[in-house]
Amino acid sequence: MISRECNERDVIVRCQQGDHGGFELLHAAHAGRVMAYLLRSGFARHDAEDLCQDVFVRVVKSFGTFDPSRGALGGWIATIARNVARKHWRRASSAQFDPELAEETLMSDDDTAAQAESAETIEGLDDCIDRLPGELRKLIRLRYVEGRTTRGIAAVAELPEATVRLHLDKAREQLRLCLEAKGIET
Amino acid sequence: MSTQPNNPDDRLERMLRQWGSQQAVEHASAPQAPRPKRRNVVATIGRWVPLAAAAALVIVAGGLYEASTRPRPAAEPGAVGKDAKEKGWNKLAEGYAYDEAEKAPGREADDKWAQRGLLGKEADTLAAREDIGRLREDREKLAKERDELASEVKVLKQELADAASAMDELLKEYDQAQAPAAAAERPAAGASVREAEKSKRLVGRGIDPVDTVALYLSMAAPGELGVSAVQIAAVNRKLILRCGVLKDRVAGDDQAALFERLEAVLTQLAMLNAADAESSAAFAAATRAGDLRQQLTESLQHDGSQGDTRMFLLEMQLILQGVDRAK
Repeated sequence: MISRECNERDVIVRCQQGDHGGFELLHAAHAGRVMAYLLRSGFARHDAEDLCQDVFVRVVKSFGTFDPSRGALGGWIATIARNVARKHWRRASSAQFDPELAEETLMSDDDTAAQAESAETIEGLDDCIDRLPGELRKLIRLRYVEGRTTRGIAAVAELPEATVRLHLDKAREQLRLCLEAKGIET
Repeated sequence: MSTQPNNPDDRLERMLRQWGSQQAVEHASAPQAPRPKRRNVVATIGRWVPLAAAAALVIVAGGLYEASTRPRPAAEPGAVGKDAKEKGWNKLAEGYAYDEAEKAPGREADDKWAQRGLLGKEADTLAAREDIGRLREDREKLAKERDELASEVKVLKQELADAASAMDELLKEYDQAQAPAAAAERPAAGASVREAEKSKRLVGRGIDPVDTVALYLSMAAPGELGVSAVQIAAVNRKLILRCGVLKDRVAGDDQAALFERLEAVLTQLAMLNAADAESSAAFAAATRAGDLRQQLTESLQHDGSQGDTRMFLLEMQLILQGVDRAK
């Protein structure tokens, strides 16, 4: 944690000095999160890439307005990402993606620290997901990685929504059993 | 622990969301960082100077034109100041209107963005409501079917109970008929209301009301005839099973030997090809040979068999008589 804060402070200083290397580091640290947010918001990949570029162009241009005393760098970048997404948002795919899950991508590590699961637990979960039958694993990824609603999953998987719900419940039940077998309580 | 899906309070749900978020970031494949362009000051100046000069010329020309065409009002004390003030207010109002017009699209986009979040949830809620509606309909249908089936089961159970008590009654009467002392006290056919009713029912079915064997087979194997009726009656009345249970209870070697023979007869009956007249005849002959029927009669008359054992032996008598008739 101390090392991460030092790194972030260092990046901020370098960016404030106009050091391009600082901006590269900032991009490396936050671009994945911004891109995931845009994809989970329902933008097609090529649109998400363009918008991601747009976000970081604005970050570079307006870095002078960033005040570290008012919040974390990640939060400031998240605000810019939301503004960019809002300006380019189209109604068409709105119902297929869960905005809550998209928003969770932008949450900083500090925001989630209180309820975060340990790396071992997540690794255990990953293993359990790998053991799911192919169809159930696919639905879990569509829901939790791509951030789709049941309607969105139904559209992609070409299944009725009620079936999607049932399969997700089944997958969760199997995951519960697998995790309990590993000694992880749910 | 909450078992509701999509409930962030559920630990599994939180774990999945954390995992999903991490996976999404890992697989996002963000594009490369944009490179800020180096400023070429000379080129920038070179590009903008002509434009700036042109703009300045236009402004000056416009100002000169406006000055030449403006009507000169009569000079009044304070008139110039008042005019300027009004112009100032007008300019402010224009600026305000301009700002509002600029901000309006942003506000509209904000509203749409807020609605987006609701849409996704609304879609889920609507879908869930539809599912609930369909499930409610299914549940009502199933409840109705269940009630109908329950009524049918009740009727069938009653019929079964009626059949069982009728069989018990028949066997008791048959038993009573065996006892010589009872012969004189037997009520005359049709004397009691019950007898009359029973007679009516049986005659209606083409069965002689005093033919106990026929009655027994008609009740134990409804609709069957001949050797098949005897076979099916033995199965329906579970005679082999009862024989096995009772065999372990009987006292005395003679009784034990009798039950062994009866068990053998029932087994042969079960394996008999009822459609083969020759086999049926041979079986009937085998049951008549030896002293099986005599032993059976003696056991009922002299050994004082009671309860389940007695009922079983009575039914075996009727079965053997049925075999005789079927040959």
